[in-house]
Amino acid sequence: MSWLILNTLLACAENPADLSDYWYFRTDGVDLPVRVEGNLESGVILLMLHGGPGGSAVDYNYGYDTDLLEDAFAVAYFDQRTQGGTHGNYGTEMLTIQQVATDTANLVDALRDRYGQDNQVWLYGHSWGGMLGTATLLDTDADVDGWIEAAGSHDYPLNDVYTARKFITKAADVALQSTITEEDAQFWDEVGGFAGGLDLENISESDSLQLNQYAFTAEEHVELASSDEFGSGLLRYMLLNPTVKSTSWWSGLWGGNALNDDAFTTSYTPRLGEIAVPSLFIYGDLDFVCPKELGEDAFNAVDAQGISTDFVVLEASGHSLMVNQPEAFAEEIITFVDTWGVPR
Amino acid sequence: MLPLLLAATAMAVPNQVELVPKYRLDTSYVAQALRPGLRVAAEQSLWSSERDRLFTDEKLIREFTGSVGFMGWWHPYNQTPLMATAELGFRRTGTFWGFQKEALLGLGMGYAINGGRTYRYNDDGELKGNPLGGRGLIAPSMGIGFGQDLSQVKPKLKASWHLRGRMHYQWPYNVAGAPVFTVEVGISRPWSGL
Repeated sequence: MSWLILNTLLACAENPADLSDYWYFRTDGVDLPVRVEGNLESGVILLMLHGGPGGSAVDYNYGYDTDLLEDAFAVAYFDQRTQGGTHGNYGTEMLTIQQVATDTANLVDALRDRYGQDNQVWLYGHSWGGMLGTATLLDTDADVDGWIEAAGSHDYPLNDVYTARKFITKAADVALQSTITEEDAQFWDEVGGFAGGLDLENISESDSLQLNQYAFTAEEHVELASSDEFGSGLLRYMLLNPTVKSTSWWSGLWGGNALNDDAFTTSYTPRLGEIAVPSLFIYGDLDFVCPKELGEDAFNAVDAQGISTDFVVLEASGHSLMVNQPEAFAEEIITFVDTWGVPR
Repeated sequence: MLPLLLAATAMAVPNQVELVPKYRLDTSYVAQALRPGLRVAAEQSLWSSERDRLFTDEKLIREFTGSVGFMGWWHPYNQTPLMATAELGFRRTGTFWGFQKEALLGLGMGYAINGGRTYRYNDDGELKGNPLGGRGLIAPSMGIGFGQDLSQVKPKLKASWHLRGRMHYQWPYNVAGAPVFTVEVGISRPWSGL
C-alpha cells in the first residue's frame, strides 16, 4: 500500500488556484499520462501538444515559461501515443495522425468531465504539435475554444520548401559578410549549396530529413536570445522524470517513424481557412526548423475568415522560442487568451 | 551490511573448499535507474561440478541454478511492475575468494500498475478512475552478475552477495515491447540457515 500512499502524496494537490494533478487517460488501447498544473480558477486549460513525434510533454513542463503560463492558466501536459511515458497494447495501424488527433479530442472531453464543463480548453502545440493541433481542429469534432501554434508545422512539404529557401537566403547574406567566422561561413556555404541543389517541387524524404537536421544545427550558427531564469520544475524534471529515456526512445521510435511517414505527405495549408476558433501563431525569426512563413500563411488564412487571430514573431528566437524568450513567449500567449477567450 | 561482509572477507583464509549451499533465499534491492524495488527469490542448485583451475590450487565450482520469486519496482508517475519470476542461471564460483560470475535467463509475468489513477469512459459514457489501472505483462529477461560466496573464505558466513544487471523486455508496451534495465544488489542465504 505504501506506493499508493506515496503516489497520492506526490500526485495530488486540490487547490484549484495551484492545481497539481497527475493521472492516466485510457483511450483506444493506450494509457496517456496527463499532468495538469497551474491556475484552474482562471477557467482556462491549455492542452499542450508536444513536439517530435517521438518527444514527451515532460520536456515542456520545467521551463520558466511554464511558471508564467501556469500562474495565468491551468496547463495540461500529456504524452502522445507511443511516446514519452505512455503504456498500452495496440497495433501499428493505430499510429496515424488521425488516431493521435482522435486521442487528443477524447482528452479534451475528459479534461472537462474531470475539471468542469465551464472550462475553456485551448490547444497549444509546438513544432510537430502544430500538425497534431491542426489535425485535431480540422479532422475531429473536438470542442476546443482556441488554438496556439508555436513554431508549428501544419504542412511538412511546404515546411521543407520554406526551410530550403531560408537557407539559400541566409547563405547569400552570409557570403556578403566579412566579419563572420570561418566555421560559420563553412556551415552556411554547405547548407546553401545543399538547399540550392534541391528540386523544391519534389523534395524526397531523405532530403527532408537532412534539411531538418541542418535546421537544428543552424541554431548553433545564429545569435539566439537566452534567459537567465530557471523554471521551478527543473529539479523535479531531473530527479523525478516520469519517462525512462531508453524505453521512451525505443517506443517513440515506432511512433515517430510511423507518424513522420504520415506527416511527410500531409499538407493542411489548403484547409487552414476552416479553423473556426481564435488562433495565435507565434514563431521565431531565427527558426529554420519551422520557418515563420508557415505561421504567416496560417494567420492569413484564418484572418480572412474573420476569426480573431494574431501572428507574432519573436525576433531573437529559434525553434525553441519558449526557451530563448520565455517571458515574451508567455506574455503573448497570456494576452491573446485573455483578450479572445470566451467564458463558457 | 555489505561493507561488513567485505571486511570479513578480507580477513578470511582463502582456499577453503566447500560446496555452495544447495538451497538459497535471495533477497535483493532492485533499482531501475534511481527507482527503488525489491526482488525475493528461492533458488535451488540444479547441477554442479568442480574442477581444478589451471596452474593454481584453486577449484572452480560450476553450477546451473533455478529460481522462482517475486520482483517489482516503483517508478513514480510511470508504472509499478509486479512480477512473478522464474530464472535459470549459470554460475561459476572460485574457491580462493569465493568470487562468482553468473549469467541469467528468466521470464517474468505479472501486472504493471500505472503511475497515477487511470481514467476511462465506461459504456455509459461516464469518466471513471481506477487507482490500480494498468496492464498485464510478460517480461523475458537476461542478465549478468558478479558476487562472492562468503562461505568460501569464512565457513561460518553462510551467505553470498551479488550485483546483477538485467534487461527485461516488457511486453506489451504500446505497439511492441520495450527494454527496461534494472540493477540489483542483494544477499543469498542458505535455506537451512534461516
